[in-house]
Amino acid sequence: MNIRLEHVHHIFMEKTPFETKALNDVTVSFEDGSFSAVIGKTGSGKSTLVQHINGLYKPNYGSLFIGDQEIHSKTKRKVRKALRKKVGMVFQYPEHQLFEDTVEKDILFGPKNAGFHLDDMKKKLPELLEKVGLDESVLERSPFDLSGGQMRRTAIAGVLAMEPDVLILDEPTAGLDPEGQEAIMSLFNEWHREKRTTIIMITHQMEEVSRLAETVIVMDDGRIQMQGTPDEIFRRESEVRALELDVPERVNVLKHIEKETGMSFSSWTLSPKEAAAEMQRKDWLDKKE
Amino acid sequence: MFEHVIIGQYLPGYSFLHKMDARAKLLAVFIFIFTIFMIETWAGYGVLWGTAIIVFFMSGVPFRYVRKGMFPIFLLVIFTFFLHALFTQEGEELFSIGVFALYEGGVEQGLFIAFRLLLLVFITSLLTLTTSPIDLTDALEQLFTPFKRIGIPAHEIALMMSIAIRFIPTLLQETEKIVKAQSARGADFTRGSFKERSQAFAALLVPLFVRAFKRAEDLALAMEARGYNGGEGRTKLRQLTWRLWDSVICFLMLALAVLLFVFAR
Repeated sequence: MNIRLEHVHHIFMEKTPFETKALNDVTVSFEDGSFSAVIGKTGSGKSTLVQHINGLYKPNYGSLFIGDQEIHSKTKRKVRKALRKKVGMVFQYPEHQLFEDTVEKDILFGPKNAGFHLDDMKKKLPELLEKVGLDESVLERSPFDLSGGQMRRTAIAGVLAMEPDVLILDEPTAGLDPEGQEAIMSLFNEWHREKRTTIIMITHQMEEVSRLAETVIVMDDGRIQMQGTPDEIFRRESEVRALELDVPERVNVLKHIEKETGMSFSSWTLSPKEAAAEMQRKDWLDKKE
Repeated sequence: MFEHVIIGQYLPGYSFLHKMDARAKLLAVFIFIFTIFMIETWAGYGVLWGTAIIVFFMSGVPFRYVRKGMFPIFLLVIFTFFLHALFTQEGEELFSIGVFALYEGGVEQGLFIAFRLLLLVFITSLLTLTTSPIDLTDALEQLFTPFKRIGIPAHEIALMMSIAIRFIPTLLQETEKIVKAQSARGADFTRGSFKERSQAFAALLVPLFVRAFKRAEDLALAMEARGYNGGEGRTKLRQLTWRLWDSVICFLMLALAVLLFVFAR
């Protein structure tokens, strides 16, 4: 589903002394089937932005289009609620939302609310569990007895079980160990490739951005400051740093190699493997000359 | 979702009332409330309302905040008004519908109680609107310290209060987060059958309690790690300072109470 925001403003506690503008004239679109990353320092409006997409917030001014559904300040609750079946959201620390007495019930909570056929869902569970990297034996256990990583996987399975067309991830790897981060990210990457789900991910991990995202949206102070491919964004390093953000290590490495050796890469966000291949090819071309 | 909830309703400001010592404000409000309950004449109430309105203008708080604070109590006021109006059978009968008869004395009594309740809420909201919760608990602790001898744990009570107040916004945030997360999974907290809704609330309350207990454990650990051992010999970062004006206000309040007690009871 194509997602488009047009001049969206969101103001918290409007007309009180505590008034804050969380989104200020945001116009942006996310293409169907794309993987986008939203980056920005804390309080830049990233979370507010993505929570508009599944109807948790509605704009004070402006409107957004999700598929052919328009959402504006007067849109009814019912419409926004219906949106949640199509747009899944994995919140920060999703394990905090676990509540049922067994993992199975917790995973099926979303599909049940969405009116899915539960018997069909139960048949699909083993496949889903395998995708998120959980053993089938956890189904009957209490989610509160699981390890942190397993709890996170359970919560993620609960969102994926609804098979949303659009998946929003709010710092899905925060607080996990490096191995867990890697596993969770490749899980989403697999899901994205297999189901062509549109993914919008908030993250502070610049490595994840350069590895997975097709487009990057940089936010600051409720506005969109930059937008482009990871390569385009990270080439503007000084601007990125001015927004109190960092560039990924691989960009630093490739940039340094370019400076020292005169080698020029097709992109600064190449993986080490791709970069090595490019260097070899250039080497080979040089020798041929 | 909870953006309109203002905890303790405190509204920062620089008015005379804001600058007063919290202890003085507490004492003055205490005397005032005591007076409210002692006075049973309309003239006395006129004076008390007059005083309350003067205090309101001194506070510099916009009226809508006071109104917002008083709003929840309105139902109670209306309820008690009718209770008194219908069940006090004094004076002339005004009119009757079936078994219910409205008497003059009843209406008067009802109005009186309504005004009393409103005045109570009015003056206490002014107190909480102009005093930060921290100052308020500090003041309570210090006012209660003399009663330590008879076994009132002043420091512990104040600590419990300030921790509770400190965690209200945190718990609200937590609630908001979980409500959002469960709504994203299709839970509906406002519509649906009783069964559906009670299940939605389980989805809210279970995680909320799990988190609250976790937080309590973390807090206890953090306090112990920093060597907390109760109130003995503890000094304060924020000192309350009692100025001449604070004594004057308390004295004026006391004088008002005595005068009303003598002349308008």
